[in-house]
Amino acid sequence: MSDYTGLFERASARFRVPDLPIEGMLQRRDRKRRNQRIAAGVVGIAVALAAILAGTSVFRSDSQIPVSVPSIQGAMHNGDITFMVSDGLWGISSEGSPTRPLPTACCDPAGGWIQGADWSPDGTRFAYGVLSRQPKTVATGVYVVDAASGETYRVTEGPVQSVEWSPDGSTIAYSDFSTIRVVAAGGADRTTVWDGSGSALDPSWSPDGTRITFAVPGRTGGGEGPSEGEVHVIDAVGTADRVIAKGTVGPSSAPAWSPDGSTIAYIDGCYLVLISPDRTGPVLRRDINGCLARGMGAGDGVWSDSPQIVWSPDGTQLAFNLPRAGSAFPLFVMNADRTGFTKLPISRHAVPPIAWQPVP
Amino acid sequence: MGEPPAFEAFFEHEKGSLFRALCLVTHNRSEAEELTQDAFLRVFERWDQVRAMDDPAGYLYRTAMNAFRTWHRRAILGGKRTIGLTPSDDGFAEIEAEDAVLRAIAPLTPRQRAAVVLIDLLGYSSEEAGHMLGIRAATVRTHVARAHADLKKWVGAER
Repeated sequence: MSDYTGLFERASARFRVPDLPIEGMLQRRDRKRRNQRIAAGVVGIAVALAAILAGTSVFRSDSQIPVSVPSIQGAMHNGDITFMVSDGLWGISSEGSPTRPLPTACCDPAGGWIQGADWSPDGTRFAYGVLSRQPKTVATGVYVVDAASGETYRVTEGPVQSVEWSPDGSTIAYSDFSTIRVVAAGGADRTTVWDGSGSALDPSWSPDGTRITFAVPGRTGGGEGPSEGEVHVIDAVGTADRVIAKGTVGPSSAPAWSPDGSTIAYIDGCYLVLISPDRTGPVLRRDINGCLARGMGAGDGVWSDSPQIVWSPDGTQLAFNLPRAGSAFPLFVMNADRTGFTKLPISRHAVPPIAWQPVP
Repeated sequence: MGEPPAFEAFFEHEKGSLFRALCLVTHNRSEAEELTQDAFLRVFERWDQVRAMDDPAGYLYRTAMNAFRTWHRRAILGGKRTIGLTPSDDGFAEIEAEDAVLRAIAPLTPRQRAAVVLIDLLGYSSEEAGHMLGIRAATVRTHVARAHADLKKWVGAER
């Protein structure tokens, strides 16, 4: 408490607290929701009329969207590592099978570009973000596509840096570069998890769905943010924010939580680093860029525009890309025990982001 | 550790201090009441998780400050006051006239007032206050120092 606390307490005591019964608050909330539903209904009718008049059937109501599926973490196997090519979604196995186009019709960048992608835990839906420098003319936001039908709907509006499904498939965490938010997969409810100073990138869920890890890059020039980059862990309701690692956390350090919950992987300069979320275990590093072999210092490895790490659905492997401006991105896989470091032969036309599809 | 509080007990215990803190921040009792209700509703909807926290009140204040930030942003962007969506608080000036602290923080922006209230009334550190308000701890300290300088003038003038 400060020297002025007494004065402030006296000042605040001048305000008579109004009668705020809990029942009244709940009624007020219900009224608000009813009004929102009515407003949404009016808008829906207007949209439906517009669709009928335009002779199109591209509109989809939220009531058709499956918003919750049981948690199936740990019950899925490794499908393809997927990435974008100009004509859609392609995949490759971690053993390096020839790349192949996937049947899912995906993903229209709507005049912007795709930034962030993730498969739902049951592998049936694919979420991606759209980013643009002209947000007024491009329909930026989080999108979800049904893998079987290709049916696509927009979940949020506004630029997106990264997306990740919650382990139960009911919500999606995403970054808009400065904020980490969680939104219901149907788009109905959105909460802010972190909105601190600086950028907040690459959210990744703990497998029990209670926490989220993300990166806060170190500030450059006069920007906001910490002097050193940081990896954070925060409760999914936006409390108990903790910095679990600091270092050369670059523009996108891409922390990723392992499916068994024991490890967070992130990129720090030359290294792919593996740490335990509560920092009780050893810090394991793997030079993934040949920095040390080339005699470079550990901090010289901030080379990649937007690296990304994804764990295999069974948690035995990691895949990561190291995109560089103006060139095809190399895609690597590595075993979780840091052995078996392999470069995959993907198409030269491939572009990030990557995602690892779970299959039953 | 004792039994986590029931929501009703938590609500009764915290509603007065939250409402009064928000009065100082917004300088408008209607807005303070609305923000108080919104914050409690959000806590209520997540009560199973919030009650297990070490500091449920901290979560409440963080939620209230988030709601305040959203309200403040909308007020700026949408010109909420100018189109009359928020009722003015005509009686506030009378209360303000009687209190040096209220007069001292009146010229500050709502965000600056929020920083001062979090530090001086609620006892948060500048780092915690900065996190709640989405500004740097150094900026919080600047706001607080400015308010303290004004406060010294007002309090000194009354003596």
